Amino acid sequence: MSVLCSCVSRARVGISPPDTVQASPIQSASTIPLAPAESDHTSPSPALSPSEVIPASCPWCNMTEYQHEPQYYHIIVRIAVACKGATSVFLAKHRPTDTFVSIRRTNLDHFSLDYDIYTGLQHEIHMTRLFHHGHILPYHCTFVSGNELWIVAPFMSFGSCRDLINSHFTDGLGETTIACILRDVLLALDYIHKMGYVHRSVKGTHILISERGQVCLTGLRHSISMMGGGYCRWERVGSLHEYHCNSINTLPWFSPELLEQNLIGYDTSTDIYSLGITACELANGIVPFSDMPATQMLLEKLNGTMPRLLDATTLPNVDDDALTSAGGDSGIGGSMATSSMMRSEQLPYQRVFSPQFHEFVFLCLQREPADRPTASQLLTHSFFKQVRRKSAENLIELLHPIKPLTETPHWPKDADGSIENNIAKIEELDLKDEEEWDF
Amino acid sequence: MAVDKSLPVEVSPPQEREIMDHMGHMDEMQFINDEETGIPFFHRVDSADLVLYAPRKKRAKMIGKYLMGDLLGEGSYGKVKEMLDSENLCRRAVKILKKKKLRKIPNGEQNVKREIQLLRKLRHKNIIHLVDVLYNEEKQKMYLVMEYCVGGLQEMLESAPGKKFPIWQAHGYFCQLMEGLCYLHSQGIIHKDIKPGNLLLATDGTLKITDLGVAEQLDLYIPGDVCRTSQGSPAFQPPEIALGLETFLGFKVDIWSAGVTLYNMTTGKYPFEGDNIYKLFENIGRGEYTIPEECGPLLTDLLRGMLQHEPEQRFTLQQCRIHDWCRKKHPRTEPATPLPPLPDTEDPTRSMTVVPYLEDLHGDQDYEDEEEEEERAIQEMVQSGYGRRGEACQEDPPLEPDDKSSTSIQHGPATTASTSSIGSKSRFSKVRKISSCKQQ
Repeated sequence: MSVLCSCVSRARVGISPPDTVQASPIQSASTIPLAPAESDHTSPSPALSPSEVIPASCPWCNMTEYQHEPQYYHIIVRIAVACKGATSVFLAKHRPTDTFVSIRRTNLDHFSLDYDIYTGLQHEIHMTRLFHHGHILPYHCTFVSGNELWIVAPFMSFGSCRDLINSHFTDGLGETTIACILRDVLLALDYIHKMGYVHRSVKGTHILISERGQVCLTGLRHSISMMGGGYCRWERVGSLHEYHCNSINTLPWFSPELLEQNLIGYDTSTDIYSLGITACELANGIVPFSDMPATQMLLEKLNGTMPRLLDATTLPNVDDDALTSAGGDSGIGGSMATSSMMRSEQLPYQRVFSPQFHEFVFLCLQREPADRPTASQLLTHSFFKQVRRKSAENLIELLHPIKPLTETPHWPKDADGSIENNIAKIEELDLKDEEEWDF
Repeated sequence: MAVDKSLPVEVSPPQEREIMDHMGHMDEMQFINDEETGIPFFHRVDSADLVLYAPRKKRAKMIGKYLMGDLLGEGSYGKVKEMLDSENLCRRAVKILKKKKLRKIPNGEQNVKREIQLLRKLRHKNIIHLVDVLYNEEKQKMYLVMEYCVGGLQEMLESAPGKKFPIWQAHGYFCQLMEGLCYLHSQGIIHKDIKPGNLLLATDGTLKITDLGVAEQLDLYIPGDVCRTSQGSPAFQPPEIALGLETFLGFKVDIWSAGVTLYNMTTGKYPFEGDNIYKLFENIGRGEYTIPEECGPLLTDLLRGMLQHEPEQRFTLQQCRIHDWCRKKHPRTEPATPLPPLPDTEDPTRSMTVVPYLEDLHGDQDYEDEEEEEERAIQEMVQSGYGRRGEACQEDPPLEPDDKSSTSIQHGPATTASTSSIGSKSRFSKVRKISSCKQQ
């Protein structure tokens, strides 16, 4: 407990004014200009009507002080439960500024809160404080109240990419949308890698989209430093070996070399592989390898099976029986296609992803870590040429008919105080697919 | 009955869960009450022995949720094998203990029981972590599932030129040994058998202290660290034990053994030797030894401090840790001594040995062959009464290759995949459905 408290109180001091954030040497050291992402916050995007513009709400460049006491936050509704019931995630309003925030409250005395979760939480707060990047989800503040740890973060009202897929895009997102999202994720990854860390759990649930279309990477709990480890402390190590036994949900995204757990180990390129799987997840709507037991997935990955995007070029045409039996080389795509076809109309068979996208995924999913490009190399890939404008603006338009959660009709102004109705509505929206959040 | 609590009830598929519940009532005392000596750590088996197994096809075998891999070593108490946790895909090592064998070793069952009790409550990066304990009442076997280590200091020393490490490498291991010992002592535990053979390495080079079979938990209500018994390896025993004193100070025993270990790692020799245990103990009791000059003044001073004849004058753990040799940064003048490749596989990366078994589990084979085997599997299941209540932790017969869906992925035709969920009856498809449910 005391360790955590000290961590939190240091974090309290760590809230930096916006100028220092933007001018920090770390960020300027990054080779990729971050200007477009930064400027999004100051000028409201045209897609938003004036009433929806909340002046001081932007987490990356606001001067707002978020108080370290519960009474400043109005809890609206519980969105999710995580960490075996020890953690609840709430949608809340910061009373002084009247802005939405998400609050993760963890009961530190909860029986299921074991050592791993505990240290994981500490590590996560640490990492979030360490990183300052426009595409990494920051925390407004963290504090301990009673026996609860509160983590106040900006509310990402479009939810995660996984949420979007589950609720609206069961066959996958459009290519341009994916390009917008992946470019921002790559910017974040490039930054994390240059800081000497490996993220280790890049996946759809860890990519959040804000009301303004800002894409944020989260899930820093599993990030690990390339410094130290073993007996060679305080030196940059060539490879990492630690294997997390608690990340069963992340197995399909793990790279072969990470799963192999041999003396060679893994490095930052494991994130590139995970990004490739994430690309397939976003495009196909289903996660590659998720239709098989973990042991089989391991075998497939070690044998170099490469997932791919499902479109007319990679999928056999179902109408043509002869083709079905002949199109034997669709990799794991084949079996997944059938499962998605069961559910919905024949979209995946008709769409065509660009050759650049196919190549991007191919590069990311190389079996040999050394054959994969780095994050900064990938940022110059021709796949991202289609992202002409600032991706945030773009995203809002691309997602157009879908409204962020906070824009639910009649939402804040319910005259008859029937907040329960709204809660029910929100719960319906949000809890549908994930009883247990995996951070 | 601390042992029963960690039975992996929550992770077992439903059929097994009942079995496990049943196991909960098993009397562990019945399992463990014979006599036996210190458990030696695993020895490499001669590669000639393994040739026998090579042509045989590797059959997948599951113990609970674990898939068995190759043999890592064998000792008097049983085998050590590699395993793979089929749920989180974590590599594990398993000590397989047979009751029959344990009985023949003096204090055998007692030592195992104590080791389990101690390992259960310990949690430190330099102490081996006991993950799981499984029992098979029928076969009279016990499985201690532990974190996987790629190798040990002993095998590295044996393969190293001059049978010693470069100073910087020995320093790294020694510092980790001190940290691990410090934790053990803080928990009131005397290891009593510190030696290179009981120091293993994880894939990232983290040192792990293993084999608490002869360790002693001090009585929390009695001040001091007075011990009476020792079953450690003779060459690493301090004079007070060699001379056969009735009581001695426990913490200082570990310091002495760590001193001998350091001596061994840095010089490739032992401070005391003898043709037989009596000569050896005589030499230790006399306490005359030399430190090679190449060690330098700092290391010599540390070794002298740790190998003090009188326990009272011997360094404490703290004195060792703040000793200048420990605090010094030793330049990497020589390359590290690597782990030698395993004798049978000659794989320098020490990759998973479960892969052939995975292939047996999921690999694609000839179509007819597969069908035949599947049929046989069903018959086997019927015969063995799989899933019947009351059969305690039945060891699974070798799993048959998976249903067609897994192979169809390779062959492509998407139509087979849809039928697979209905058509397949092999055991594994059950496991599979459960696991896929969990994922969603």
